[in-house]
Amino acid sequence: MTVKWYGDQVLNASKIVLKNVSKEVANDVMQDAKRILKQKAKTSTETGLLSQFDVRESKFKDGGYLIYCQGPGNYTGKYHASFVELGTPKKGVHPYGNKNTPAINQPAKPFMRPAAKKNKSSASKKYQAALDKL
Amino acid sequence: MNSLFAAIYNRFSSTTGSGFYNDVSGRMYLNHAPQEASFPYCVYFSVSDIDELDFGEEREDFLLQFSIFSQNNSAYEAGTLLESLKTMFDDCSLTVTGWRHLQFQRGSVYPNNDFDQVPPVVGYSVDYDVLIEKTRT
Repeated sequence: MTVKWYGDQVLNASKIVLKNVSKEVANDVMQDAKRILKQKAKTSTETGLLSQFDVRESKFKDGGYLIYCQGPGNYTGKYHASFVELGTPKKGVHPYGNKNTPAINQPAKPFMRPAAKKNKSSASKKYQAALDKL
Repeated sequence: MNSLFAAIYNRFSSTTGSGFYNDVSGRMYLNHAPQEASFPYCVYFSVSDIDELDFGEEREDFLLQFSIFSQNNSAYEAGTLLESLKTMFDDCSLTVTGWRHLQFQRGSVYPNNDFDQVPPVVGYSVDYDVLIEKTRT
């Protein structure tokens, strides 16, 4: 008696499903990051970041998706997303690297990391649900 | 949340005269540093706080950021601060009033520099995953 096990087909189908879910989760993280930023943003410089988000497929070996704010293609010469996310040191530091404005302390307004953290547990459930449907 | 921040500061201030406390001369601030504070110093704050409930337990999952800044012509001081911060907090055990402390795990470390300043400001932002829980009432 012979039983043929189409292991490769199952594996390939799983990869496609997981890739689709990964993209969906990445988009969820991006939307949450935008929502958090919208709540915290007070200046036009900060709200300007809302139009500079992007999700792209990673070229790294392990794959997955990357969520950018001012990433490739959205980088216009000014860079301040990381200053908003991480904050800046106080003395003598110009807000968001703009030397034309007075130097002040810029407290952090994290928006990328809270969004990623918020979606961590729901992502696991989405992967599980997608695999259950296979 | 206040009890967690208090526990962190208690750990920091319990080692006066040595380690990280000594390296930043006691200058560790919650949320933001005063404008007149001298370098080097540290700022810590909560990046996110996720509340998880199950039948018997309430769990709080924090992402904390510690930012250390040094204004020095050499990057050595900032590097030393980073190492002493890690020594003080990596996998440490805290006494958090009303909670059981489960985890204090270091995550990402981001450089946070401003080389336009004279002398340049060299800094790092360090993430920690902190887990505390208590019995639901």
